[in-house]
Amino acid sequence: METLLNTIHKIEDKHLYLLYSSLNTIFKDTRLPSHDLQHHIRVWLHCRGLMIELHKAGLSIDETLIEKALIACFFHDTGLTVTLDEQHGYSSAQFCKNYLENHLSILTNAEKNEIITAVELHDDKSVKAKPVTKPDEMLQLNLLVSTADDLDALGFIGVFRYIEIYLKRGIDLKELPRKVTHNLRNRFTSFTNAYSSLHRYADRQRLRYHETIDFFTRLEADISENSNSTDSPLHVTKILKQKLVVESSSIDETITYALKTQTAPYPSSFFTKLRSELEVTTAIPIY
Amino acid sequence: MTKIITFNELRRVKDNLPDGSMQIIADRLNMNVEAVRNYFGGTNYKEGGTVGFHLEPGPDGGIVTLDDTTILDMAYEIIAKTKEIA
Repeated sequence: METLLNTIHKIEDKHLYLLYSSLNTIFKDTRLPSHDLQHHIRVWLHCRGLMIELHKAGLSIDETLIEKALIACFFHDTGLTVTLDEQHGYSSAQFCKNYLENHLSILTNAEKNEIITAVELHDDKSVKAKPVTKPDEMLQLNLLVSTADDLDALGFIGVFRYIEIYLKRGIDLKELPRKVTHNLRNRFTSFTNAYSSLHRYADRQRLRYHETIDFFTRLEADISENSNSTDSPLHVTKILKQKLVVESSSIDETITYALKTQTAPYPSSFFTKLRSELEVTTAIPIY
Repeated sequence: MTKIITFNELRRVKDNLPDGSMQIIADRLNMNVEAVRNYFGGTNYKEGGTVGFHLEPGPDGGIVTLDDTTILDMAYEIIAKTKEIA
């Protein structure tokens, strides 16, 4: 375990600053809190956690896999600065290709292509649909990156991310809960199809999945009842819509605003929990 | 023994330790003090190594898996003794 963690930190030490700088440049004119640099850092943290769990389960994680996964995680959604379309993977792959051509000559062409493919196909349903039949298949780069991305759709973070991107894609609020729960179920099913053998890890993710599903189930009920309550998921959704979509505020500004202005228990609790989930990236050193 | 704790809970334990506790723990366990700091979420890996701490996104600042609870148990012991004296 110590050896794997040391290897991960060595690779992070080698790449993080450069990746961070590259993404800051790519995202400098884009306001998209659901898919910003922090999202890419969290996806890497999920991917890292997944690899650690697989290592504990007896699989061998080599240095090249860690390096490829780190780069792929950091580029997978950069294409959203070009298009908000679900097929943004192609544009992300172009950013990644440029980065690899300019910065990492030590990787072989085959390794670079593997990273580019993982970035391009990270949201491809046909890739996720392939069942895992052997333990080693759990180490496929494509699968690790797309699963790590799926895991950032869970919890309270998942709630704000879905609301922002779906509304910005023009999905009507009335349609939103049904579309989210459908997408979320698919993501979680893909995760369990591949990694349910990691029992304790899967249990932790299931709790986060239920937090998100519960929110959108209640939101659907609020919408159908035409609720005016300020103590509800619908009210939280209205705040997120106003601040993130209409005013283009950051998520931090949104949370600060909500905690200052909302007195009802549900929004207060929601935004407090959201802030504490978002704090995870502050624990990552980027020099 | 592995323990799962939230990052903010671990930070609260660290914040409740009296001054000098990190050094006391390091001395008792014959470890580098940076290693003890890394156990509580520090990131000086060059000096302190990784000490079996890893963090993943989740509630309350994220989920921390600690591969060994010796340092945490010692921290709880120091906090309990401090409260007794106070």
